[in-house]
Amino acid sequence: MGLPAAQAWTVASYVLKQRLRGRERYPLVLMLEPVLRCNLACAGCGKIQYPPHVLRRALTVEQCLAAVEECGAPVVSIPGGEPLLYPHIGELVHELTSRNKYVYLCTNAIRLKQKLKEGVFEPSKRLSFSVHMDGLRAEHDLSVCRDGVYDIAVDAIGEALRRGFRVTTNTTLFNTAEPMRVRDFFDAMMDLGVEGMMVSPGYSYDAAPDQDSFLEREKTVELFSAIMEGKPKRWRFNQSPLFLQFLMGKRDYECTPWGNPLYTIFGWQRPCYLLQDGYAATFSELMDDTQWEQYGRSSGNPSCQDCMVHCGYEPSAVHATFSSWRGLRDSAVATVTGRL
Amino acid sequence: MSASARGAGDGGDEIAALVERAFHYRGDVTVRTAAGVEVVGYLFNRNDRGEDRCAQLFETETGREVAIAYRDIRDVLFTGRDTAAPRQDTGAPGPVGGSDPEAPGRTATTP
Ligand code: SF4
Ligand code: SF4
Repeated sequence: MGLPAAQAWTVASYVLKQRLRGRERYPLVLMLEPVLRCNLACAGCGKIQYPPHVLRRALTVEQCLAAVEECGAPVVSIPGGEPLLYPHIGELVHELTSRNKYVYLCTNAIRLKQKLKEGVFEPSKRLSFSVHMDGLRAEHDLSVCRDGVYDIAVDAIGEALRRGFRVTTNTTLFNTAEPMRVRDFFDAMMDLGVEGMMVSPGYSYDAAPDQDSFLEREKTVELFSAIMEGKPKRWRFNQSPLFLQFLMGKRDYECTPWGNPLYTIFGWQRPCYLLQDGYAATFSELMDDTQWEQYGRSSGNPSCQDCMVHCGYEPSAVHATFSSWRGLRDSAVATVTGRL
Repeated sequence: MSASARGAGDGGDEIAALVERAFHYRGDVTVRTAAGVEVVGYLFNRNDRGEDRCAQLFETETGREVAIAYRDIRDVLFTGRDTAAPRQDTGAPGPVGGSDPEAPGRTATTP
């Protein structure tokens, strides 16, 4: 699919090392949120509803690097909030890539072109801008609750590609998604020349303003099957093909909430990127003291019943890839043939 | 914005329940302590296990991080606007034009 070979190799050898060490739980992608503020207020977002003095807070670069060091995951994703509002974003990314981390900088791209012109970032095989795109112009602007953002993002993507940066897109789908429009959208993103796409169903955050558009599990499977069945080979996804098959209902996984741990201004979030059941002061406290058996679908936790979100299930798919020859074979076949 | 949810004196379970509610509340709260001190801030975490049960807050005015033991808490008042609730003025969901308090033309409204 869309993952460069060097990055795939880094992740694969990391996972194999963890397995050889007999580590039952290990992180794959550190989600690092240096700020929670954003220059948008999307209807499906449950991340930004805080008092102004909280939104003004930011992690220091040192705090970020200490978290990265402590966690040890080979990939660091920087969501938010909007990371381009973080005053030290250039320095942080530079420090991370020079520590051989693969960085996904998730952005709504409103400020991306300006930052590129200011020379805040340098192209690197270890840095990818992961641009928030929830659909074609009408759907995206509706999703982010502001007209014109789609065009700004498309323009910024073009600018980043021209300057030699890696660019991917990240898309959250809600129950308003129409499969044919999503397929057209994927075509449009490939036409732009992005390296790959990431897609996930939305999670029903309690704090999100729009509570009516979240997908239930059956509807998620129905939607992703309609979108992905017979997908053209040219669509490249920057994520595990087994995860996409899970979204299509072809595989069943249990959630791996520790796979994508979140470090934020409040500490290490328990148990996952989506649920806020509390914060641990250190990564080892998060791993050792969280009652993991209380989470995931089989736990019966109501908050987990409809969740099929990438931060919980993509690590499960990656784990499954390296757990058996069959997993490895299925993943390789899907990657080579482009069929899901 | 001063909807009070009074806790009862030193009743441990009631204070724990109140702190729990404050933890899930997306606005500032006022914690009244046994010493008569009022701490106003965002209650972002609580340690509700073991001997050292405490609530952690970011103080609104100073930005300082403070921890207050459950045994010292007498009451928690929900004094700040719930930022996750629909806006009262327009009925529109959440903040207008983004949540960046530093954005030009945007008033950072402390409740
Ligand atoms: S751009 Fe991202 S962080 Fe900002 S409001 Fe939208 S979903 Fe939330
Ligand atoms: S199922 Fe979803 S909400 Fe529950 S722990 Fe896993 S990722 Fe979090």
